[in-house]
Amino acid sequence: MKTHFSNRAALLFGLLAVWLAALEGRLFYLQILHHQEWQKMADKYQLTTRVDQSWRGPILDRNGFKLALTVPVKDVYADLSLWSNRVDLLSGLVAPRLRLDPAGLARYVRENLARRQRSSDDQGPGVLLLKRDLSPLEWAPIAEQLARENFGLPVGHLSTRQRALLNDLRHGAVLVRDAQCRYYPEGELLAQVLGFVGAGDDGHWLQGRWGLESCWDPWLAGQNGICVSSQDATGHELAFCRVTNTPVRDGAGMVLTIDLPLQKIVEDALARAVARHHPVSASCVIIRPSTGEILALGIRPTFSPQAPAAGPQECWRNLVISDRREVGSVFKVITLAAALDLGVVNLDRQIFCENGRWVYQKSVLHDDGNSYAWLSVWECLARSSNIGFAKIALLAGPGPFYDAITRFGFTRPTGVPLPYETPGFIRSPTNWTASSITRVAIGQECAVSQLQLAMACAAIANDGVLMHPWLVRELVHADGTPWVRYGPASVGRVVRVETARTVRAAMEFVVESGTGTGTAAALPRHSVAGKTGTAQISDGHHYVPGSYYCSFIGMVPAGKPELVIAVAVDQPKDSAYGGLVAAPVFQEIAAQAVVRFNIPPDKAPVPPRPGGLVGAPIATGGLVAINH
Amino acid sequence: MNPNPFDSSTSIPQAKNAPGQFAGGPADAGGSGPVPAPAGGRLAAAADRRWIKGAVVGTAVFLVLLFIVYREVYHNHRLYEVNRLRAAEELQRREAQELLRLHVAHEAYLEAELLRLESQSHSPQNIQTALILH
Repeated sequence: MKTHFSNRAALLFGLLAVWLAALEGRLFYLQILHHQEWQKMADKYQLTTRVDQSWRGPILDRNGFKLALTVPVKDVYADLSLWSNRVDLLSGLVAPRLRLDPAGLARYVRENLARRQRSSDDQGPGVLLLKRDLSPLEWAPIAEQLARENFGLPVGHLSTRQRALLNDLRHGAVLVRDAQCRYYPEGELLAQVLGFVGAGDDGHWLQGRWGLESCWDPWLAGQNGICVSSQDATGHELAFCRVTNTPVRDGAGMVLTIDLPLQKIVEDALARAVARHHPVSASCVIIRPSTGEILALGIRPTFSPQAPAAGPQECWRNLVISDRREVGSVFKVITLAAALDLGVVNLDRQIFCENGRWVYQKSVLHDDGNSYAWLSVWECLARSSNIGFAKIALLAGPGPFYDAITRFGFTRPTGVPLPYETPGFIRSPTNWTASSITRVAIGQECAVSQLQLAMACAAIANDGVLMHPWLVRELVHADGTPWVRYGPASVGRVVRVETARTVRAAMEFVVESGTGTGTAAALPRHSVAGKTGTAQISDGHHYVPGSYYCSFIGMVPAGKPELVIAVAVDQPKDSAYGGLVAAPVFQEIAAQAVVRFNIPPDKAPVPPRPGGLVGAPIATGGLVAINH
Repeated sequence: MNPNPFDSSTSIPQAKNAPGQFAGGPADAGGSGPVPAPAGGRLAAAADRRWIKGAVVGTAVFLVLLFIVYREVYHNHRLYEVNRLRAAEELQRREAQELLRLHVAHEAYLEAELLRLESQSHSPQNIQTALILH
């Protein structure tokens, strides 16, 4: 009996041991040998990863006006597994609600279904994008209507299968995904500076593709949040089972130094100039000389950042910073500053201007049809004598002259925080021909950007201190608290204070004397210092006859300038002089800018002409003065 | 060696307890000592007690397990409830944020329109007037 029991017990324990061994073996196989594989499979079914898209930060002007902001939108998709055998029915129901053509939509869906069937992957029909950037306000009623739709199924009693299908069709035939859309409330205003965005390929919905949007993309885009958590059998996330939860960090808001009302003034004035002169382009930049702030930067023709592809790509370019040009006579201001600073001339020195034609080192210089004999340096600038300035530069000598003009920063980018800035181009004196110095002195054989020139003149307006252009004022967190503040930054002194003041006096003479080329820029109550420029345009080998780059650069008020305004009109059709084309644009802008910035008048009022503006309504053109 | 408690023929004491073999047995019925209860009855009572004890322990274990399972189910239910609330709250927050952002965009649009209207008065004639009057 005992033996019998022992045998049975041994058998039982043996079987148990075998079973346990098998179990252990299986566990070892699954959990040790194939751990990764099973873990991956489990994660696939149990874990869900959600990427929380960061919100792209807005771009604001200095007053808080919104220049670019992000708007929530919905992208609408079709679930092709539900559409595959009822394309016409669903197209007919969905297309009108999405403002699409039903026949076109049906064709589009069929083409995609056919393409997917032909393709070798067995991922199933998937989803198909029907419409982008639908406003949530538009989507809400559509979703409601679709949830009540019967999709051709009988109205009365439905079988369980039909009910399930109806439920799928109502809530799954058309799917939406939250997306972002960039909105530029001011339309084309400041387009070349702001740039535009495109679809993101770095994990964000939107990615900067041009201008500030591109250059400052990492700051504006922010950081996506990633949430890995368990999900239930229906695919819903279990919020209490989050494995990883990196919080989303929204993009920073960017505050610019741009003054939107002034920007509008500039762009309106440029639009009028384009309508008057039909040039290839017109541009203007306004700088506050004491800080280097860019208050306005306008370019025509322009484009809509909302739909950049709708216009020619040529319009995207920020001509003010990326185009370098021979600027012509405007450069004489720099030549004069260099010569005065080197102490080789003073404003009263008389220069013989060769009666309008001078051959120097086999190179002929003209004074544009004028035959000046002896002119003071004052008059040389006011009448824009090429020969006079060629001689002034010769007095300085190539080396010192080159050093003095390059101190203004013409051979390096200004450092404005925008992409594709040109460094400018002035050959070093070792590469000059014998006559090069006479050409550089009058703005030929050197190419600079409009911004470089404006900053150089701003240095003269700022008593000789060159500033870095200041465009981005601060970055703010999504909740509005400051993050990074930028301030004015000085490059250094480029000329002495007395030199700068003397140059300003000479520039004021150009506008205010009544005999200079810039009289069209004068304001009735504010003194203006400025210089006109009319540069011939080269095709790379020769100057093209009848093709001119007209410009004017001025500062107001002349005594203690608060604004430097540079205007350029490229190849106007009706006139060839900066004094006739660009100076009036300057006047139009400056007149409104002084009101806008509440700059006190420094000139005696001009008595109104009889029958002129007496009794005219007091209008300030909608301008509101501000204190800065 | 201990008797096998499962083998009734060999181990039940009364089977060995022939009359007179052990004191207190039926052969001692006329003896002077107290009359003990029959051994079979005592053993049956002990078995009952063991069974009851076992049943009580088993029930207790079962109840504890039941409680643990119930607690787990309840806890899970609560978690799902919290999850649902949290998901609903997050959705609500997202929707509110969406509305706010739309509102901000609409405000920006209106602001831009106002500025546009304002700048329409910047006619060259008005500008000239401003030039003189300023």
